[in-house]
Amino acid sequence: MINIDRLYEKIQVETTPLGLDGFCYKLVELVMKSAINHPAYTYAALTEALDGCAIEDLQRALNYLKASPINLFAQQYQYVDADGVPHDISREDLQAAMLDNALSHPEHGYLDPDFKERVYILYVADKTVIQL
Amino acid sequence: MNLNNILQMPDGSVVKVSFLQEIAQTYDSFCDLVENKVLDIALDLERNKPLYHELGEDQLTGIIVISLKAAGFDADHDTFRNGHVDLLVKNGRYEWMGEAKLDNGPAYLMEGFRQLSDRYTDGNPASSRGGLLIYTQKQNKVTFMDGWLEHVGANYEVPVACTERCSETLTSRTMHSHQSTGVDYRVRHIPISLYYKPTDKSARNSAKGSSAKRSKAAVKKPAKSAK
Repeated sequence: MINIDRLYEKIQVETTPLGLDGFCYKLVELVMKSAINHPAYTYAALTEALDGCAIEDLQRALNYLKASPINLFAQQYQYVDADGVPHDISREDLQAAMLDNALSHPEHGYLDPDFKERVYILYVADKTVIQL
Repeated sequence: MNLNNILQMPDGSVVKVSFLQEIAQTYDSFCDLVENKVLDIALDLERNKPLYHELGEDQLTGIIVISLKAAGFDADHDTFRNGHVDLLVKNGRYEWMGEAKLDNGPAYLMEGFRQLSDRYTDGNPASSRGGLLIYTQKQNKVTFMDGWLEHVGANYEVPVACTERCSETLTSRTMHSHQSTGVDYRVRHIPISLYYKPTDKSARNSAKGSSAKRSKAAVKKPAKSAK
């Protein structure tokens, strides 16, 4: 858990030289405005929330905020199968799929060689790490 | 954006590197990503010497840690691993450690090599690579590295095999049998040149100007505190 003032101070000191402070502030504000404690975002949603910023800048700001000791975001993977049904998959599932060149369907077990087209990265925030 | 979109991005893309390091399948692929990123950061430091050449060991390493975090690596400074390791990058059970030293002579650097090799790392296969980051203010990085590697070979108790210098990065690798496990322990020696003595007229004048400002400030300070 990190105090909001301490978080802003940390962002200012550590990310201003990298030109990421503005993006980090906006991401924190976005999470704080959420009505739920664990909002999930796609790259598209985050890019839009940050006024169409470059994806590389967005990624660097996300990386900073998901690293310890802040841990505001966690990276998760979602597999949308051929029928359009979403399934959360673990990093280990994905590592195995990359090695095998096919993902084992989380429910039915069949192997999907086109999984790379169907796996998306989600960033799930944890609003409770910020202490007001 | 799906995985295919990410994998088709250029190799240096932060988005791609962040993803690849997250799902690194082998220890070597993880370490290669870490070392490549450290080399990018080292190059940035060398390309902005006026900003960085007067900073100390901890400040420079702090910049490297924050830059690694922004690049998607789980990096930290001063983590305890049988002592406080300057730079630790983790991914699950994989660990890459870095020891950072100002170039205060070969004996001082050798302490860094020993700390990294004999103290911080356990020598297990998932932590069998590391880096020695050398911040040097001296001229001629090539000559400096030749001398340093010769010193390591002559002064370490275990035979150290040294690979050829990388012509693009001027880094070198050494390998020796880890004393506690017998596993080959590989160290990337990364010299970061902070030698900054420009000889053109405008740079000399600018340096004079800033040193004059610093002297004025230094004179003013005691007067204030005397009140």
